Amino acid sequence: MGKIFKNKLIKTKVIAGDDIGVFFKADTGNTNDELLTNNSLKVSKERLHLAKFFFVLIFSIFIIRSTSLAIFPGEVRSVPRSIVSKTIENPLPEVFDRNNKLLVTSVKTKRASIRNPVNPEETARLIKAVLPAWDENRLIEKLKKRSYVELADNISDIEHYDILNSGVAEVEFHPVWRRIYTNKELASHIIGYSGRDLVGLSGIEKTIPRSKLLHNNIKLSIDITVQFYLEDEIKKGIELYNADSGFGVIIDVMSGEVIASASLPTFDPNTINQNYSNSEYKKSTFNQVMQGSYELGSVMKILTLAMALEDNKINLNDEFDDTLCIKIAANRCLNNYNNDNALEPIKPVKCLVRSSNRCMAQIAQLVGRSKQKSFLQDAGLLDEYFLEIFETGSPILPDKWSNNSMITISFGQGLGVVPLSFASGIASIINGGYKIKPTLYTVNDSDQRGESIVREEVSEKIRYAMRQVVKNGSGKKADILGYAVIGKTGTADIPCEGSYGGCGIRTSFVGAFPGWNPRYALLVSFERPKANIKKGILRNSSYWNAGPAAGNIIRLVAPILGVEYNETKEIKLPLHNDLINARPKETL
Amino acid sequence: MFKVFVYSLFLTFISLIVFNQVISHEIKNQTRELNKINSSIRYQENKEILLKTDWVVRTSPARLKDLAEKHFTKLRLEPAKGENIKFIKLEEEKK
Repeated sequence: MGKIFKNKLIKTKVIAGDDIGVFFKADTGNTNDELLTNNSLKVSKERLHLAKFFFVLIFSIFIIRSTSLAIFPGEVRSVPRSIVSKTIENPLPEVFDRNNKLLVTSVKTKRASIRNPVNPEETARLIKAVLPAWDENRLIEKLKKRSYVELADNISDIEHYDILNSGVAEVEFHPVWRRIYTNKELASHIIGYSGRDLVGLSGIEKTIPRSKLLHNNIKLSIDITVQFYLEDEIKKGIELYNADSGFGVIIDVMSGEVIASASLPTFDPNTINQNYSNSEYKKSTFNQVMQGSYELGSVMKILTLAMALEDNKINLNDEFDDTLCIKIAANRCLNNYNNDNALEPIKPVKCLVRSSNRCMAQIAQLVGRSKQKSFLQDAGLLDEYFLEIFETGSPILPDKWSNNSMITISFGQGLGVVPLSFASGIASIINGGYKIKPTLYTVNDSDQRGESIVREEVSEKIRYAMRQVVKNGSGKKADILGYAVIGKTGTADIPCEGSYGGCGIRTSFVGAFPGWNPRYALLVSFERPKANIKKGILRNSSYWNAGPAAGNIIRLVAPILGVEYNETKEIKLPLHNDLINARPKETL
Repeated sequence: MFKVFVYSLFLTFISLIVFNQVISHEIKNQTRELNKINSSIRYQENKEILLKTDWVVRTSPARLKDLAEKHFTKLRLEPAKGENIKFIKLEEEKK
């Protein structure tokens, strides 16, 4: 730096007429000193200029920056939060039914709490006036014991206003989200419920993604109107037949979508958290359709017939002796229901119509144990099945698949099956013989049929046989005009303390509609129904309860589901080889 | 020359500061306005959810059925029957 100034000093000598320089020259007359003073002044002037330059630079930086801050506040980190978070977000996805009707949503409410009240007695008195649910003495005790007391959850706007006006200064309000189940009891077993902190505790609520990244609305396969009619009819049925409980399920036979699933008694997910300690409530959370495992009785005969036809062990013209004694114990023959034996030899379709145990046992003996087991395995009855909720049950298999098990399973005793997997098994047989998997979400492609279980012609024959049951047999009360309902009734003994008999019965009806091209399969069942002679229910068998209940459900539900109504369409006996050959015999 | 420069610089600074103050004041006002609008939006959205939920509760099948039964003598509403619905077959299906 010194060097630069030196050079500059020499330069200043040459400059003449400088005001300051001249003044000093005139005053002192000493050229050397004069020069020095003059130079030092010059230097300080230069330095001042330099300092000025830096000041200007710094100031302009400040000004530019502060201007930009004022104009573009978004660039800066410390922006008020309200500007950034513009939208309100539901913490959990909304749940819709298949027709986009809202089933579950989240609503923002407030939680009122109180912190360190100065005068607990006065505070308690004021709070009691606004929130009458509180017991004053209990509140005083709580306020004295703890520094923080929660007053109420999910308070309404009016309550909020009242509390603010009550004059209690220490009240705090926190925004909280609350799940609202719009249809109360309907489909509550499938939808499930959430706890107080929005943590899912059962059903779909437990399995939907908690993360905001996966925030997509969920569309269930449930049709809430169908669900309502199903639940309503089963509720009516339980009252009319004085049953302990009942359940029903409707599934799409092509896609496996569960259209409706009712398990009664049921619960209201909106109030479950308050009532969970109640044992009745706890019991009602059990989903019989998906968690239960029951012996369904004669409805299993459909599968026995299907496996024999598929294996070509019988054809529809074979005849079976219904009076034959089939030993199931040392000195005990297998009985038909109510000992109603056909005196003449009967054909397989007639076996199903009469629901003959002896006939089915003979068919099962023709099929054999291993084939029976593998067929039921293929139909999905012996495995745990996958569903989108955690509440799934598993079948109860016999300890050893003995000959006796084979015989009893052929008519539906001795094997506990999950109703939903049974319904999907039946659907897999009547839909042309292709396996379907039950699902609780809507599927894009309506045809989800998988591997083949039975041949197309077997499927047709089974449909014909099931139609005969509804037309001429025990399912008469389910025969709704215009839908050619196909089905089979079942009445099973409920086992208790290791034996059957005397512990009541379970009646069920499995069917499908419309018969000519089944679209929906239906399973209805009642536990321990009783006769109600005053109301015209003469007995407790499935002909009197499960059948008519299923009929009512089909009558109400079919128009909603858009099922074709046709009074003239009827299922004809499929003309396959064994039948064509046998035709002259029949005419004789 | 220098004085002029300094004064003009000073004036520029002052005017810029005033300008900043005016703008930041305006921004504060607008932020307040924006917060108001945002909170109102949030309130309205919450109300919208409530109304939507209320509508679903009001049109729930159970409630509609009860109402239809209650006012049956006047309205004569009952569940649709199969024969009420006519199926129109498309030309393609006929072929």
